[in-house]
Amino acid sequence: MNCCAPEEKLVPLNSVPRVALIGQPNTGKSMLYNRITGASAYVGNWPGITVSLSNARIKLAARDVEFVDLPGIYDLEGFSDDERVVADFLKTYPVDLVIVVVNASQIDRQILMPLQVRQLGLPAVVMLNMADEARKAGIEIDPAALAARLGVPVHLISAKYGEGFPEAMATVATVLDQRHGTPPVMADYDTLRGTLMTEDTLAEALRGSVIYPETPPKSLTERLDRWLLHPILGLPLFFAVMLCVFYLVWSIGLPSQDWVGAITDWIQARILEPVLAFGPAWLQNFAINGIWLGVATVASFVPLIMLFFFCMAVVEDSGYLSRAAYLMDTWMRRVGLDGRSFVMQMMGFGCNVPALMGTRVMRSRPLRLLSMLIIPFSLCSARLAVFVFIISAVFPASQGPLVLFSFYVVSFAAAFLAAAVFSRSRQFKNSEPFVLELPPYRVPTLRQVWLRGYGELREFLRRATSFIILGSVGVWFLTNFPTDAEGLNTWGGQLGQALQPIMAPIGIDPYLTLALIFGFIAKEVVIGSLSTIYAMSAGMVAHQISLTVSPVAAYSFCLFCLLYTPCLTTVATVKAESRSWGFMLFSLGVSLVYAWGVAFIFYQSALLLGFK
Amino acid sequence: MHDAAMTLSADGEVVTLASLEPGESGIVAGVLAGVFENGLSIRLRALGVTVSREVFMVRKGWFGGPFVVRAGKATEIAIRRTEATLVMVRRS
Repeated sequence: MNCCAPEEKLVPLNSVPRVALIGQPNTGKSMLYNRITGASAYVGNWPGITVSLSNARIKLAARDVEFVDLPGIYDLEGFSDDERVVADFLKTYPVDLVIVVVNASQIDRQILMPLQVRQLGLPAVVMLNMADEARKAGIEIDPAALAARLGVPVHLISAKYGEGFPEAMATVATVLDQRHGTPPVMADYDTLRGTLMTEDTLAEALRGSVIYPETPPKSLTERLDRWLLHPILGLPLFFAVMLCVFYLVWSIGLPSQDWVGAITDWIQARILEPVLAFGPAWLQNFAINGIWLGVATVASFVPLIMLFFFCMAVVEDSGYLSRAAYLMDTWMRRVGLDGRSFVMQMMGFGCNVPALMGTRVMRSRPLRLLSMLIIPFSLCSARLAVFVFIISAVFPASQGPLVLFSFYVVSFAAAFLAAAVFSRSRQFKNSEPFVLELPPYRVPTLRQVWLRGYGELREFLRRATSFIILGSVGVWFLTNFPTDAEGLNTWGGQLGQALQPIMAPIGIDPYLTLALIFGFIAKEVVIGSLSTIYAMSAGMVAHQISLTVSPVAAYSFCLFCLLYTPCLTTVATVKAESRSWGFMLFSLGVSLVYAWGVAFIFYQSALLLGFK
Repeated sequence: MHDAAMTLSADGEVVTLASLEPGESGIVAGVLAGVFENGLSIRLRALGVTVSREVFMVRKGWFGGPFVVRAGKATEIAIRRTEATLVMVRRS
């Protein structure tokens, strides 16, 4: 399998059978895809398609088969960006088979998609997923009768627990066998658009094969929603949930960074330094304080990112995240956003980059741009690490969690303020309907949670590793030249001093200024760069900062860190998603001015109030 | 299907979805385009809010918040007030 250069991979025209997965959001399509492909999936670019798609080549009944996971869409005739991606894909890349994933409980409406696929003329297998939920809801489905009516194989499965999965995959293999030698099929959108599909068409397709109970059994979801969506208690409960997540990250994530730090320190002391001792001093310095520092920085994030996305997966897969969107919509609407922007903003707390990509679900460009403008103010995990480091160095341990929590509050407030201001401009005025599915509550499986954490980690390592090591090497150069200089006499120190007229009013000294400059590359670099800038180990840096930086200045530094550009990757993503240099530069400018302004107001007020 | 008749009929009066109280249900008579052109009716069709389907008002958010509406048998959706006023239903 060619898994080494997914970016450049060009897909040959069906040298192996191509199977595309399509379905609505919340059907468990991705879970099915994960079950089919295991860990072999990778993200690839498809010429003519604006987003990258996950695909995998696996052996099915002794034959290589390529599976492609298309974005979840509501309607094959829809106009959202994702819906356009699917249409472009099916019109550009002929497929040998389409697996239509349907939520079995919602077959009353989701039968639309198998019918539409039939109109497109594509060979299909229908998988009615979440069979367990449908059974619990008392819904009787006769797959054989439905298959006869639709003219394609139908299987009841549970991608989550594996029920019915082997049989369904055997059918996929059989259909591919029967089609062997037959050319793949390109979607026929003219026929689809020319066919009027009424309610009767849908009802007719289901007649005799699907029976819903007269009165659905009282569900757990109903009982939970009475509390979780309560008009008054809903929001406090939501914030309580988020606070729990933060405490978990604080109490496990923070120590985990020390454990990793101990491991990387050990490797440095026992392996690298003895080996490098044979080389010249400058090489040892460069390898340890330049390259290895970058590697150690990346490593220290591994447990934190996994833990965060474990939590995120639980919140999201349990069905609570869309409830959060519902609860927040009242308030988001007032600042020109909607609950979905809020969900993406929440995603941004993991990493701004996927959150920015996720704004694609919003059809209206103004709404999307406004969401993209405020997402970089979300306190991402990389900034979290910086804050945790600074806070634990400067503030007493008992205050730590509260100080950290205050940054989350500032993060929200800053985003809302920015949205409220910019939504007044015509460029950011929204015209998209707000309609959102609230899936029933589900218990996420360990497998799901693990796959999410692992997947996000892999993505992070792929995207950030070289970036961070380069940044770390860059800092090393700035802080080690001219060769005889030390501290503020180095190029970097001179740069930090040159910026003092701007940075002094917000309480940031030349050392920290330099750290901020490197934070522009990635926040992950900041802590590593502090070690280089102060020429001390991380533990010593913390001590040094506690001596030289006042709590007020430290807070101001964190405020600046929170609001200015998160990292180069974010900037690149804003550019790619908006397809506009102008918007990217605007977003960049806004964040710098905003960061300085907020830090200035905070620092000067604190001084006026007598804090030092 | 975009111009629902705003008339009284034997089956019940045609009102907007927004005017259903929690616990009340109705049959969709049509979806107006409003400012959304086809966008709203296509999205709602996929979620099961379409002509002759039953909708049930589950709860209404406070402070002008969105509604939770059950569409058909087993789909719950959140829909904003302004969007809900574009959905015409025959009260049942």
